[in-house]
Amino acid sequence: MANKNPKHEFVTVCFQNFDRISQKLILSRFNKPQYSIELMEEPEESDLCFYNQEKAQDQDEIALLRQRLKTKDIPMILLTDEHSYSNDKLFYVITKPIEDKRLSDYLYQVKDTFYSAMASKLTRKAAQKPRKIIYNNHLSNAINSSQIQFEGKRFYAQKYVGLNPDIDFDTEVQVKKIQMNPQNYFFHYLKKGYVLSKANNRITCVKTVYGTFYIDASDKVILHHKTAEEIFNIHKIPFYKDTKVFIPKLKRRDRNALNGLNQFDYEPFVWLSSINASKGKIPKDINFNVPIKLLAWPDLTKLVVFKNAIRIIALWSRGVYSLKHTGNLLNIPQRYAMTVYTALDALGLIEEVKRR
Amino acid sequence: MICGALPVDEDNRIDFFGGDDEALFEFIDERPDSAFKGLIITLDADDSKALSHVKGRLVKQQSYLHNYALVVGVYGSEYSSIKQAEEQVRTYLTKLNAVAPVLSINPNDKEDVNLLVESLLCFASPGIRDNYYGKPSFDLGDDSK
Repeated sequence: MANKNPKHEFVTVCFQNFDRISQKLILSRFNKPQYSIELMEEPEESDLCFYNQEKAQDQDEIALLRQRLKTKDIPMILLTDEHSYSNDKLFYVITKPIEDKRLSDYLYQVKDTFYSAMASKLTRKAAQKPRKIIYNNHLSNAINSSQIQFEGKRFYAQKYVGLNPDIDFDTEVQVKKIQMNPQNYFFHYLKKGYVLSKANNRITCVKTVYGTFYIDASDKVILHHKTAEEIFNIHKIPFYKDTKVFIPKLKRRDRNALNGLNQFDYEPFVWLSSINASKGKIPKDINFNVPIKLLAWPDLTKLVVFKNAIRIIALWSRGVYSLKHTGNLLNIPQRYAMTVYTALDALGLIEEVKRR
Repeated sequence: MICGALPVDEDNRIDFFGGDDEALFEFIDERPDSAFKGLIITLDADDSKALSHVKGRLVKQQSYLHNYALVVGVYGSEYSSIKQAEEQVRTYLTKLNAVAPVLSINPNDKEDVNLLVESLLCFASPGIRDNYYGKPSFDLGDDSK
C-alpha cells in the first residue's frame, strides 16, 4: 500500500551562472510537495548544484567546480550546448534546446534529472550521517546556529525573503538591484498614517487604489471593510503612488460605521505588508553603512517568523552593527537582513545610531 | 529553586530555575561560572500590581539586563490589557537603556512558550561567526563571505 504521507525533505540547491528568469523557470517546475527547496549561495553548502554554461570558455570553471563538488559528494547538473561532456555518478549533462518547441521536453528532463539526482544524494546522505537526536528543532537551532538549514517549519524562507543574491555594497549598480522605492508600496503609507495618528491622537485615513484603511495608533489597530484573506495580495503590488494619508473629519455616523469594520492588529499587519513588499530589498533611502540600533523587539508570537529573523533581531539588539555587515556576521544571505530591516523600519522599531 | 529541565537535543538541555524573590538572584550570583543564559520574566496583565512589581524588579536588577539576556512574556485574559502591559514594559526597558523581547504569550500554548525560550537563546547568543566575535561592524573591514 502506498504511503499517503511521504517524508518531507528539506533540500538545498545552488544555481551557478544563471539569469533570474531561467532560474525561476526551472524552480517553477520543481513542484513535488514533499520537497522544500532553499537556495544557497555557495555550491559546497548545497545538496545539488546547477550550472548554466553560456560560453565554451566556461569549461575550465566547470571542471574546477565539478572537482570541488565531487570531493563533497554533491551532484552537479550541467545545462549546456556543448556535446563534449559525458555523465557520471555525480555529473549530469542536459543539452539545451535550440528550438523553442523543444523547451517543454527540456524542462521535463531537467525536472526528472533533478529529482533522480536529489533522491540518490539524500539516500547517500542518510546512510553517511548518523542522525543527531533532536527533541526540539527550534531550540536546538537557536543553540547551534550552523545546523539551522535543517530547520523545519521556517525553512521555506524564500517565500518571504525572495531570491536576491548577495551583492557588493561598494558597487552602485549592484546596490540598485536591492533597492526599492517605498512610495510604491502599501507599508510606507501605513507607517505614515500611524505616525500621523500618534502625533495627533486621532484616527487617520489611508486612501489607496484598493480601498480606504483607517489607523488608530492609540489602540494599535487598522480598520478595513475587507478580510485579511481578501486583501492578502495587495501588499506586494507596487501601485500606491497616488495614496493619500490624512486625518478625516468623522461624524458620529462615520464612527459607527468604523465599529463595523474588520480590525487588524497594527504590528502583524505592517510586518506582513513590509516583508511582502521587501522580499530581500530595502527602501532606497536606507543607509546600509551606518550602525543601527533596535529600539524594541516586535511581538514575535503574533508575527510570521521566518528563518534567521530572530537571530538578526537579536544581533541588532546587542550592539553596533550595520545592515551591510549583518549577513556576513551571521553567515546568512543578505536578503534575510534586508527583509527584517525593512519590516522593523516600517514599524518604527529601529534607527540609525547618531555619531557623537 | 529548579523548576524544570527541557532536553533540546542529545548535546543540550535547558534547566529552568524559578522564584519571585531575592533568593533567585542570590542563587544566580553564587554560580558565576555556570552556563546561565538569561532571565524569563512573566507578567500577568490582569494583575494591577504585577506591572509595578516588574518595573521595580527591572530597576533593581538593572545590572542583569546588561550582563544577561532577558525576555518578558505577558499573558492575561484581555488582549487589549496584554498589549497595554507589553507597551509599558517596552517603555520601562527604553528608560533603562535596555532592549529585550517582550512577547504576548498564552502560557498554555507550546509554540508561544517555545518562541519565548528561543528568543532568549538567540538574544544570549545570535550565532555570530567565530572570527567576528567581539568585533563591532567597523572592525570587520570588507571581508567577503
